[in-house]
Amino acid sequence: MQVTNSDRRFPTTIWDDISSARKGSSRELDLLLARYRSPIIGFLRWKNVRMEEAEDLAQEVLIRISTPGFFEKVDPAKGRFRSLLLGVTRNVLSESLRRDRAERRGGGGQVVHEGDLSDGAIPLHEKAVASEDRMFDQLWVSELVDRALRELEEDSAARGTSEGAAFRLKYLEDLTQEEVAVRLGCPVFSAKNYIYYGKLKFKQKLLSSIRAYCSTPEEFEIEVKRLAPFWKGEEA
Amino acid sequence: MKGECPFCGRKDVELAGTGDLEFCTTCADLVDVPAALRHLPQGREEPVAHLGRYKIVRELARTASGTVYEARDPDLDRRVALKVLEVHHLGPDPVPRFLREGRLLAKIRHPNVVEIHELGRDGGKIFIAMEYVEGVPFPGPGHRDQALKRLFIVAKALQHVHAQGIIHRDLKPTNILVDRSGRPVLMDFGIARQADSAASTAITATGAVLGTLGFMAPEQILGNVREIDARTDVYALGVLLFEILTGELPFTASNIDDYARLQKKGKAPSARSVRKDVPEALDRFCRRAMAFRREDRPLSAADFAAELVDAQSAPRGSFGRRLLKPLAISVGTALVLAGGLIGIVRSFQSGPAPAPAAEAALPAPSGDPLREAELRKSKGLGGMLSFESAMTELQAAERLYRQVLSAEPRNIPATVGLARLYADLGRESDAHHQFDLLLDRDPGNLEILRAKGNLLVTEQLELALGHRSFPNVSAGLSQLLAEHQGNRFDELLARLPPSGPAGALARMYRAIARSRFEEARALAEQLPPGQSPPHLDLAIQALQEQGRPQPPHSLKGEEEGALDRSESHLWVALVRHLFRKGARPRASTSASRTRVHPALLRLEAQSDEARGERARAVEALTRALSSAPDDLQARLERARLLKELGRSEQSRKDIQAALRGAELAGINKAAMDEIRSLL
Repeated sequence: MQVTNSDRRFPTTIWDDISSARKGSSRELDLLLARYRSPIIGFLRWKNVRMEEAEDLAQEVLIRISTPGFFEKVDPAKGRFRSLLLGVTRNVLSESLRRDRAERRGGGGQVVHEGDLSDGAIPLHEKAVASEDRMFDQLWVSELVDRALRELEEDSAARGTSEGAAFRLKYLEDLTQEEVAVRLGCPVFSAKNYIYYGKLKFKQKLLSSIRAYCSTPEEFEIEVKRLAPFWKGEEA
Repeated sequence: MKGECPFCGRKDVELAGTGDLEFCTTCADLVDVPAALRHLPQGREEPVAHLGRYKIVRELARTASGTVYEARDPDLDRRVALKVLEVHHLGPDPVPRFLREGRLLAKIRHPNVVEIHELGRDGGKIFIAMEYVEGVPFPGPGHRDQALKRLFIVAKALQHVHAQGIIHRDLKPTNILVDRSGRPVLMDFGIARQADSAASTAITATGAVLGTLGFMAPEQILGNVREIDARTDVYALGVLLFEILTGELPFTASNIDDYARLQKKGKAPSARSVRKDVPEALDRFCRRAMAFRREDRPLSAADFAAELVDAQSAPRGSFGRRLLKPLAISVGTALVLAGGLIGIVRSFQSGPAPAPAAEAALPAPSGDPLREAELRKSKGLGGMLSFESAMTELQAAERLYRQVLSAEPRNIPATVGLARLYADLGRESDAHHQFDLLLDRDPGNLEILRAKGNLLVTEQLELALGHRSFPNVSAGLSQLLAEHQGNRFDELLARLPPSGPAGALARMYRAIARSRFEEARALAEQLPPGQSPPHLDLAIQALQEQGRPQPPHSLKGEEEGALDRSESHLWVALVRHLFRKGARPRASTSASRTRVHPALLRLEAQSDEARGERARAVEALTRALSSAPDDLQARLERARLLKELGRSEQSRKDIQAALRGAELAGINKAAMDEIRSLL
């Protein structure tokens, strides 16, 4: 499926990425999978799935979304990419449970893949669903923050600036601006600049990560609002 | 500055930053940086120059499951490959997965599978230290006949891997390196999985990498992961064969869909359609190996290897003759006349046989390294040299054995020599590893079984009788020994006939490994005359008597003189036993075969300490650690003495090293607590 989008702010969506990956080399697919598997595994682990099995199931989720024919059925307007991943994850998990139960009964018949595209394939209590959604959001934010920090540091290293190091010293090691200056061996005003731009770039990369999997400005806005409590310290 | 926010699209709003950083203050205010960073996953670390004792030299590669570095082990002065866990790339609990790769590799002992040295932890990082293989991707340099022989060797290595219940699933040229001696080495088990666990889950691939397009079997492409088994790797072997025969990949498609469609047509392409001179038999076999339905492929890697030989030795046209010609010139042996691959098969089947032709074709090293290794080992153990000079000789012997094994991985005398050298140095796990390599090939070899078993007896004696200061550590190590070696003998017994001398010996050693000494004694008494290792009865008795106030007998005079010094480990342990009962250790006057052994050096240290010479005791323990850097007991004793001598910083380093080693070994909590109590 090819999503066309003329909005210059959304030049490439996750749908384009997946479509391209399926047309291109496995390397592109690898990158895509590497980007989104962490929250899925985290979610499955939270659901008390053993690590090995969680890895397997996460892989199955990612294979399923990149399976021939899957995206032909998907309408990006239907919902967020994150919701889709969560929906498929729930389905894969429920099928795995059914399969295990069938095998314990000595069966092991054909598993029908159904309802991959709808949320809540596992009959869950409304409260439990809300709790699951929240957990998945939290894991998702964790991945986005991690990626933003990594990109900041990689960019900074590639350009030979101290923004990444200054950002880390200030916000992860909790140093004062003066201490950052001493550690970097630069004047305090330079350290302040590095911290300021590091902070801006971190925010920009965080927001860009969200934009990367949104198809429209409206979806971006909804997504940002949904996730914002996590990085405004209001999630509790 | 005002403008349109590139994120939210609001127009004429105040923008933060400049250039590519522009975005509106509303969007900027959405993110509270400290609050956001609280969601950072645990485990992000700075790049490092050292990990454990290893010094990082350079980054070699990044894979889905970690980064691989070239590193140096300063203790053993050797190059290693370090695969380091990239915590932030993986799930919230990535450690088990990474450890699984290490454990999978550790299970596989084969000269053509990369060897694991250590699973390590340093701060928040976890790493696998493994054999550094300097080589080129498969098939490596040389003619196609050499490539075919290497493919045969790879298939045999896979047969071994499959026998452990492991499917590689990402077999491709870059995951098989060919070293300078022509030895192919299988590596990167990052997405490998044990076959039995594959059956219980929906999909077996792990990591972001799914396998590599071009070498993936249809069942992998189509996600029929429940169908993944040994025949999935056989498919990849078929692709490797196709590439050797034609220089091309069988399917060229620009995307997964097309690739799957090509495969699904049901017929693998003919190598003869690319090169007319490919022999028909090889072409037919290649197509069969790449069959769409796994039922149509050879059943196993072993079958692949055997059928490859058949296909190659079938009447051939000009292609086959041309393949064999260069080999005939370079080797000029009867092996060639019989057909290269058949020669290799025979060499594998007959055990200690000439090296595979691929290796035989390489220039022989100057002199006879095996003989030189034996000479230097004798010199090192001969009692005429200082400790330092003896160690120099023994290290040289180790290098020479390894040189021989690098060229001829299946050289039995070199493997035995190396194993015995490790035993003399007190590096028991290394010695067991070498013995296990031999037993994997020939589980019924009584000599090797006895050598391995005697090593085990010695370890038990050392553990039971030796540790004065750290009883919980001794008990923990004993428990580990029971688990590891008990299981190992279980595996061996599964491969041995139920009756017969090898089975009887293995059952007895299994009982010793699990500290069931009464049972061991009963089993020993049932052994036919001559089958029982020398002094085994004395050793078992010593084990049974531990902790009793009075020994029922003592070894003096004739009995002690009757001990076979070649059984040095047993001897060391028994001397230790005597010392505990009041006899003199006589370390300084004993044959220096045992002078480099850490158990005896610990004994020396104990003797020095009893005389109030703690500095000398520290020196003895330092020598023990030169012989066997992983000797936990020597390290702990040294830490304790250093602490008593007021050298607290050095003591702390020893304790931390001991903690790392003990944790990696998986020792129990009581032992860990005992070590920590030293801090």
